[in-house]
Amino acid sequence: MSRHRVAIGIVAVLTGCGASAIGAQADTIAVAGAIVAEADEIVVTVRARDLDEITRAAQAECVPGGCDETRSEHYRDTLAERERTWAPVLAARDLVVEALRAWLDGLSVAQIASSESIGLGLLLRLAARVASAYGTLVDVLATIAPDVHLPGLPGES
Amino acid sequence: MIAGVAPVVVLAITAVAKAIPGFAEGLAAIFGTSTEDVEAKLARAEAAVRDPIDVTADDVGRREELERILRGES
Repeated sequence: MSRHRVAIGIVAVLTGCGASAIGAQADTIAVAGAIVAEADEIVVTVRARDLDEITRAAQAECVPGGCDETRSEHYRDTLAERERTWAPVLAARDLVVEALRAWLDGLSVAQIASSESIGLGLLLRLAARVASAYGTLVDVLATIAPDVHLPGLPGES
Repeated sequence: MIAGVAPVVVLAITAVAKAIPGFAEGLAAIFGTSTEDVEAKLARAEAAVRDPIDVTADDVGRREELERILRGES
């Protein structure tokens, strides 16, 4: 998690403190947004694939004759349990989107702020929030799908 | 990063790209891809922020499909 925070922090600081600093923050937000969108597609796709395996297994057993109540309950319970397993990932995903939205909206506040240091301070805090939330998403996903890797945020190697 | 970007009033990611000349080209250099790909990435970023993919609807559809399967329907 700290790796992501440091990455965005470094990018934000290195972009300078002059008149273009907030504009450079906009760059960073756009890049981070594109990366988060890619990560989101990966998460949603991998989760759907995982859950679809259960319906495919049911199809192999239950079509065309149907399954008795015991087997039906088994498949319902398996699907529900798998959805619960993914719930922390979805919660972490929501945090990332919320943080990114706040960072994006923070740009308008930064523009209005009379002191650039206030605007940049706000944006840096919001950037750290995105980095933290994204790091949580990466960590939580790793517990469920360790072979799935999400793209790094801006500034990461 | 893209150098020399002037502050602009932006409320959306795609607005960032459209408001700054050469922005998409600069991002293309960062991503190592074409400007068309960058525009697609930015559009997805905008959607991810403003209108995230709704997995709830997919889940409901999957459960309904499972029930049909359990009844033996293909």
